[in-house]
Amino acid sequence: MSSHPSTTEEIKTVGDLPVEKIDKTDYRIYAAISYFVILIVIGLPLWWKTTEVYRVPLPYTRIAALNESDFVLVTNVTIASLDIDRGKQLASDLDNFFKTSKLFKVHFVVTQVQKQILASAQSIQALELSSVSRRQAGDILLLEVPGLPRFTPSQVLVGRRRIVYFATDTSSVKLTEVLQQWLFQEETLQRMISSMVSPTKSELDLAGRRRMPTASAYDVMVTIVNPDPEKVQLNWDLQEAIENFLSPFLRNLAPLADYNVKSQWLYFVPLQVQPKLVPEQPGIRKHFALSEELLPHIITPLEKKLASHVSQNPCLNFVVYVPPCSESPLYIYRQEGVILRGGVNAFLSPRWGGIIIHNPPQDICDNTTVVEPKPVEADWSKIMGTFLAQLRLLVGVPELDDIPRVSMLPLAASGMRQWELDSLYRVRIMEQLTSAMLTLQSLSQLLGEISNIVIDDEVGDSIQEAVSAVERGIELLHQGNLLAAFEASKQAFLSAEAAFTDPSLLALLYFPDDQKYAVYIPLFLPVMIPVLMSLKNIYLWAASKVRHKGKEKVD
Amino acid sequence: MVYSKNDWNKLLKMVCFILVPFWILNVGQCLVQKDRFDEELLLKPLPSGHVYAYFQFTTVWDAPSGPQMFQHCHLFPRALGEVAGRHNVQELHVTLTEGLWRYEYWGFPVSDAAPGAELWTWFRNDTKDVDNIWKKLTGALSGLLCASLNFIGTPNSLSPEYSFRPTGVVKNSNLNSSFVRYATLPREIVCTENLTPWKKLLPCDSKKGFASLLNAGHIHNTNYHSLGLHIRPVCKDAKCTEVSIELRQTVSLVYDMMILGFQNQDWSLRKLFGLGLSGPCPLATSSFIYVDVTSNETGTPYQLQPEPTEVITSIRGGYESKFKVYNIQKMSFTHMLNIVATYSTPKVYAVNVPPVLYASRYIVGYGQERGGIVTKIHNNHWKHLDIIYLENIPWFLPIYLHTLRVVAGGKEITPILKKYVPGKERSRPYSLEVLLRIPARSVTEIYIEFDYVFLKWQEYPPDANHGFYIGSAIISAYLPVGKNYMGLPQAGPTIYSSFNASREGFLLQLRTESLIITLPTPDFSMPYNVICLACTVVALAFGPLHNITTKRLCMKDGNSCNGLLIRLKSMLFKGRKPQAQAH
Repeated sequence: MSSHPSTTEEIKTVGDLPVEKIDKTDYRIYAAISYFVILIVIGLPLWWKTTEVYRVPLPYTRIAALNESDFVLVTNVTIASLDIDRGKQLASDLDNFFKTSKLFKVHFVVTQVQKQILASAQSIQALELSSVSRRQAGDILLLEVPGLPRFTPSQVLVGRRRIVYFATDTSSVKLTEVLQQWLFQEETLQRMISSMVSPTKSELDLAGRRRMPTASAYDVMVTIVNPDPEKVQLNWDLQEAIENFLSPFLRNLAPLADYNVKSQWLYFVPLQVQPKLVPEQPGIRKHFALSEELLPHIITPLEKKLASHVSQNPCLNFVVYVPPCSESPLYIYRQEGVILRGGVNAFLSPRWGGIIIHNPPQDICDNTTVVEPKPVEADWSKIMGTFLAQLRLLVGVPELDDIPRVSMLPLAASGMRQWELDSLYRVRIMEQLTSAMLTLQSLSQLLGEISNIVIDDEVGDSIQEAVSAVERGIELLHQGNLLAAFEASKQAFLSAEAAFTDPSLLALLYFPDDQKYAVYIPLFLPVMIPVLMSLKNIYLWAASKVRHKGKEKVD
Repeated sequence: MVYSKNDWNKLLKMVCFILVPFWILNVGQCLVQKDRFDEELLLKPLPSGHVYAYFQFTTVWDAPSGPQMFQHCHLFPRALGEVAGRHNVQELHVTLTEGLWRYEYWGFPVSDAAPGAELWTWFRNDTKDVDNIWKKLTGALSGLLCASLNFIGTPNSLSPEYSFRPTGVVKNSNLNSSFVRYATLPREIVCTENLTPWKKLLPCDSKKGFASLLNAGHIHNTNYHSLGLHIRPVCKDAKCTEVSIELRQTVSLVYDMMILGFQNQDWSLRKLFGLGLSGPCPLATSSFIYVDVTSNETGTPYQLQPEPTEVITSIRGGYESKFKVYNIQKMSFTHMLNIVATYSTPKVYAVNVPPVLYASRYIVGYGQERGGIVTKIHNNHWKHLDIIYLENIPWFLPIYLHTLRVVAGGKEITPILKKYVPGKERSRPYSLEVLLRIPARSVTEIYIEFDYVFLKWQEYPPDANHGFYIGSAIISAYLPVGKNYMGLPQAGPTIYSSFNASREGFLLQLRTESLIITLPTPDFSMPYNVICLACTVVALAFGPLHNITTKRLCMKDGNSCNGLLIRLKSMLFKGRKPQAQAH
């Protein structure tokens, strides 16, 4: 090894053995180095690589950036007025009001309308049907109707489509109020978003608490409960009633989500609560009272027979309960001594559905010539009317607060106004985008915290898809394209949920670390300690080499 | 006699049938609801001294065809309808059974069931990806009935060619057995948690009618109990242009009065079910209790209290039986109805006359290498019988077709037809169907050999030393005589329709015992032990190897080896200077 003649000589003086010894020391060191290389340099990374949890690279920066991007709903409002200057004045006033809005960015366009068009209209209905009423989803037309007092006592009238009719003397403040509170419902949207982002800090408003959580499809189940078929007979054609009343409404909602309507009959399912008997008094007939705080106890026994073993969709339940004559009439009491308002004997359970109590008519109950089981006819318009009103709330159409001197046209047979549908779109878009964004963020946070989560190609793809759909949705909102934005948000929501709930994420989650070490330590500890210890020898040897070379140079 | 295939087809493919008109006019039924519900209970003292109680609840529904088929339910249970509708089910048969029906002593039951859970389904002809939908169906049913049916999948399901034909109507007679699936879970334990959801499917629940007699405490102390759920399409009318859905819910119970502690043979509703009957289910079109009193003429007679509303004599396949009928809807209920049977003399046990056909099965062989299954089929008829034998062997018991031997009375007989689907490890069970003609008054032995195999350590169930179950074999036959036969005719859903229902032959399916087998079971801590041992050996080998190659033993006085011991010494004796080192 050492080629320098003088060194060799020096050693040679000691004897033959040292030459051999030096060579052998080198060999031993080479052996130690090769152990080190094979075990630590090659082995360790190989082991690391082969036991690594499989993870597709994910767009973490894009997911984090979603938080910064603001959801802005761009809306076009056309102000059609007879006097273009007045229109411009209104537009600038309204613009000032909406500048402070965080969610809405409203573009006002002013046009002039011909007086003849308005004058020729015989009624508001005629205007509703005319060509001016056709607007793109999300857009709104504020139409000045000079003779509005001819049709209505109100100053502002909101139509069934996307038109707001206002009288000439309407102030911009009033119009702002109508737009804010009824058409845009910005506060509801804001509360929904903030309650999703920080659920501990803010609460949903009433409308938000009632609204069903977002899903791609819902089941609607109508159940008729006859607790005593020996006493009451119901020959009702439920299927036809559903077809007549509920289906047209649900067809309107088809673009938002799928609704599957089911129905069933239940017998011998009693109320689990005992209604209180109110004896006959002057002016009050004998009846049974069911106080409002007992109502949740009615739902629990029903639940057993309402579940589905196949469907994974959230279910809206509507229950008709027909008490037997011996327990009727049965009324729901709001509080001590006050019968539920409006004479509607029904109640709504938020995010669950509604129950209506359908009392058999008194004359049939009192008539002793009618033998039991007594036939009871269905008052479908009342039952289904109540269900429709409840369904509107559950679907997410809120009850609006009254604004003085502002009214709206009554509902058509379809049960939905177009602008209500638009605001439903906005709610769902915001809900789905926020939910997708939060899901993605919590997923990326989880991935950072728990190293055992597997992300396979399929999940990776759906995460990618969700991220780009959120971005696309935000972009489409900026363009004011409500329908396309809804599609994007739905896609984002579904992909994000699919990725988050994919069972493959958990494949290795329950493989605990201590088991890993229990297997590795018997092998690694005895093998690694001598290898690591030999590092010192290698170091000493290398240091002596360097010193040696230095010496050589000095020489 | 030459066997012709057409003959077999005629015998086995009883596909479209002549529908007898319903025996009760639908007087009280309303027009809007297109369904009817019947409840029946058959009580029969068996020759062995047991009492057989068979409940049957039948719902027939003129369901609208199409995708919305099961969307709007009235008497038909919605939960079950949704499961059937979603999974494209044409026919569905589930039974959950505890105990073994002893054909030799008890005769034939109204509806057969294998021990444990048994499920067979015909899917509609337009079903795509049957295996996948079958898996989903078993999952949904498992949730519905609280049974472990979710363990049924392709690896333990068969598609028998001959043994399971549709029992209801089919659109065309070209049947493709790729749409049928059959599976059993012989290890399934049936208990209250299955009975409760099963009762929930009844329109009256267990509040009224015969279902109120089904109390868990008095059902699970029986020798045999079996819950059944059968959906099939039936003809709506005699022309059979439209199809109705029929759901038959059955409970079979066999009580041993002696071990129940009553000291005598007398039985009554209260003794059997713990309480009397409070009335019919008001939703039922008919409610009948039948008591089989045929044995009064041959065996020990008994008297019934109260008197029945009617007595029916049924002649079926040449054999006469007598039933006392209680029409529950016509009876007035001032107090609970309790039907009491009292024997005037103590019961005399006569020599058992076994039924025409029965079977038994056992395992032969010793050690843990090779084994065999023997099935003995007894034919007591004076003529030969044609049978189909279906063997359902799990994939971990590879059977060898060449070892199949059929011996009757010392003479080997050749099967008419063999259909063998070899199993595949972890993906398909072994399925063997043998069509046989068994000689008159003989015992036929079917013998086949199998191997024991090792499983992967994760495939062993908890308590692996308990053993592995092999499901029952099924013997299907077309009996020419109606002796002991209680099955329902194909067209009629009710027990009533089986009275005087003489046919050319009677379709019988027997289930044999399920078997239990001990596979070689490893010590389950072995993998970890092996890892530890192997690691220790490697570490032990590595240490010296590393030392030899990287270190050198050297003399103590050598200065090149400044060992740990020396350094310790030098530290201990710091005062002393290390010796001068020779260089």
